[in-house]
Amino acid sequence: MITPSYAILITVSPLEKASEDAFQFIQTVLNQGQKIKCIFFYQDGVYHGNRLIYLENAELIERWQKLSDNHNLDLILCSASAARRGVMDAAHAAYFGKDCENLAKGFRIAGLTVWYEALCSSDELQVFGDLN
Amino acid sequence: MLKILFVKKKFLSQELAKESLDMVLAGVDLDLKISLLFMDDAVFHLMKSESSSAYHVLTISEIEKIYVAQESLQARNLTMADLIMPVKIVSMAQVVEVVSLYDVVM
Repeated sequence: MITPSYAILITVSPLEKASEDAFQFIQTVLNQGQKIKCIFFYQDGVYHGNRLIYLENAELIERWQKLSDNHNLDLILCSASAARRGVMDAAHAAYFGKDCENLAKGFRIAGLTVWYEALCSSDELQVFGDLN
Repeated sequence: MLKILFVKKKFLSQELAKESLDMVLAGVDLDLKISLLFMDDAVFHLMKSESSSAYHVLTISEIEKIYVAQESLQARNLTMADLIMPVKIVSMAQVVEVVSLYDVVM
């Protein structure tokens, strides 16, 4: 049987219900042995990659990093969305003249070309949150 | 090649409007077949009188098709003459048909 591969788009912050839904969906897909080509965080979704977010339940953020480690998944933040919301790695901070970086481990920042490459090579698209 | 339809429903701030076009225009740059469907308050973005609207860039972009929901225009007392460019006006009943023409709808 051929299992479908997924491109996942997340447009909400980690505080939203749709973020929980996304995490559960991804876990289920992986447990069923299906493939995820890309998890792309867009618009408010880029807040998932802000390592300065403090939550009493730290697991809400850390579980994404564990997921990335355990399954060798790429967690990608849209570079334009991330810049608008102040989520930066060292290179972007330097480029935009900011004095610190705050990108969480397990995430990386990339452009929309990466998203389209994943979308075009996947069988299914799953969007969590509204796309403005 | 993937045929992609973006559905726009909200009337956004200038900054979010610009951002909402990022993915659309990146797809166009990659020579993908990109179309747009405007419904609800998003139709305001296409008004001539919204001269600062980021969406006015669509007049010079290689977008395949721009659809606008007839009911959304009517409900806001707008007609084609109020819009920045000729568009394909579709009834809500036709929207289902339009959506079925695309591989990806977001």
